[in-house]
Amino acid sequence: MTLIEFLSGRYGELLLKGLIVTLQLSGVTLAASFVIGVVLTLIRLSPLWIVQQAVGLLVDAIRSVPLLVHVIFWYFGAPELLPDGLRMWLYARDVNFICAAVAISIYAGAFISEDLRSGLRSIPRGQSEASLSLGFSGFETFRYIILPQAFRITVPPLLGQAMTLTKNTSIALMIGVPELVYQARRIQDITYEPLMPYASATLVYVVICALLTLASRAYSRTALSHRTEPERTPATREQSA
Amino acid sequence: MITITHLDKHFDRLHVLKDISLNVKPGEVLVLCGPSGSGKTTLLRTINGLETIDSGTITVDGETVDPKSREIRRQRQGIGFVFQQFNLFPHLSVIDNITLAPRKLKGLTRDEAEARAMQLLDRVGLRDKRDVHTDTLSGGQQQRIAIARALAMEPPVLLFDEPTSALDPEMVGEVLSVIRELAQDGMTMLCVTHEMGFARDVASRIIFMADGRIVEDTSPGQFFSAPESARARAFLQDILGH
Repeated sequence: MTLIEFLSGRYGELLLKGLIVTLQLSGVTLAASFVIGVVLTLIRLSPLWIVQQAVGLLVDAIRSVPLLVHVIFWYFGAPELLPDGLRMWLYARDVNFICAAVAISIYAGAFISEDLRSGLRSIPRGQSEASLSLGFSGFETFRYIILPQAFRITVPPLLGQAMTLTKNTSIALMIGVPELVYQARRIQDITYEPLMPYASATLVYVVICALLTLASRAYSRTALSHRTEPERTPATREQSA
Repeated sequence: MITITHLDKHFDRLHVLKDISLNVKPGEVLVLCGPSGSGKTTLLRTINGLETIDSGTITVDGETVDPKSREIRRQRQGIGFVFQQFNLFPHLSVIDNITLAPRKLKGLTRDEAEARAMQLLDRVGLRDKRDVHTDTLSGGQQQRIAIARALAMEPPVLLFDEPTSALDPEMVGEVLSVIRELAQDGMTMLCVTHEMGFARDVASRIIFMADGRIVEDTSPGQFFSAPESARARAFLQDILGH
């Protein structure tokens, strides 16, 4: 059986269904994790030391735990902690998909928050001083000067996170979400033939990641191309106190 | 125009400014000089609230400057600051660097702000750089744009923190000549610099600082021909002697 024959039949249909679920899960988690990442980053900019530390610790903790454990916790553990009404509401829906989305969003959100934070930190202090000295407020400085620069720097790592996240959605098969790899495994169970289903699934991930890589390269070429290292001249002297 | 009385400031245990008192009249050009670590840059930065102070007062145009007060934003609009490292906004074009603050803070329309920015670009001799990105410019050009950006808010006072120290030697002249013209136009300015030739020509007063104190506050003629303190004599010898 050739790949074309394989894909044009019933199995191709199953894989297509799986791909749709994978894309849905990726899309939902990408959006949610970006929001979570932004919120975590904003909280970490708080002037309160204790808040910074608490969120920092939380982010580190989330990043240190394997994604599979996150998924298992949000599927088997977390719903039990919910009030009855809410739990019923959840079980009346696609609980597997929702729990997987929550777990992956929180996990990816923690990584995205780190990317955003390092983007923000890479903006030299002179930028905010220049803005403040013109009379801008702290918030205006963040909005007009810091954020646009940090965002440009953060786009390539964010596309990298999108790539990781798309591949990570395959972990949802562990709690029965019928995504791409789940369907591949199902086909293998029927046909006792592992190569075609898994090769097809792999090909799909490779294509998605290749597209994201191209997007990232194109972005770096256009939006970041004029950026060069700040000019350092031999005459640069140490700033006096 | 600017009055500083009994100003003290510490960086942790380091006493960087010691009992500084200074009075600047409108139209005066003060050059602050002195050895590294003498507190000149810190003093300059306290005037527009980029640094907090421990005690003493700073008033500009009769108003007390306090970085923690709500008034500081409005006050800073009237105190331009030019940095050693230029600090242009790299995500904006030259014209947007100059017009951002007048548009957002003074409510000027884009057309109004750009018309004024073009006059400023003429003044610093960079009219043709209107739409370029700032990091394609030389250091001297960047600093001239930074001066135009500060001038766009029409501040009565301009502060310069070693405006030529980060420049290649051949670009120092173009920046200094812009500052010279501002001085001739009667702009009130304080300038931290090691360019002693410029100080001699342009300054109405020289403020010589050492170890966080103002050691001499005198005319350039007096300072360069007969400095009173041993510290100033040693400093001039170091900087001019070779």
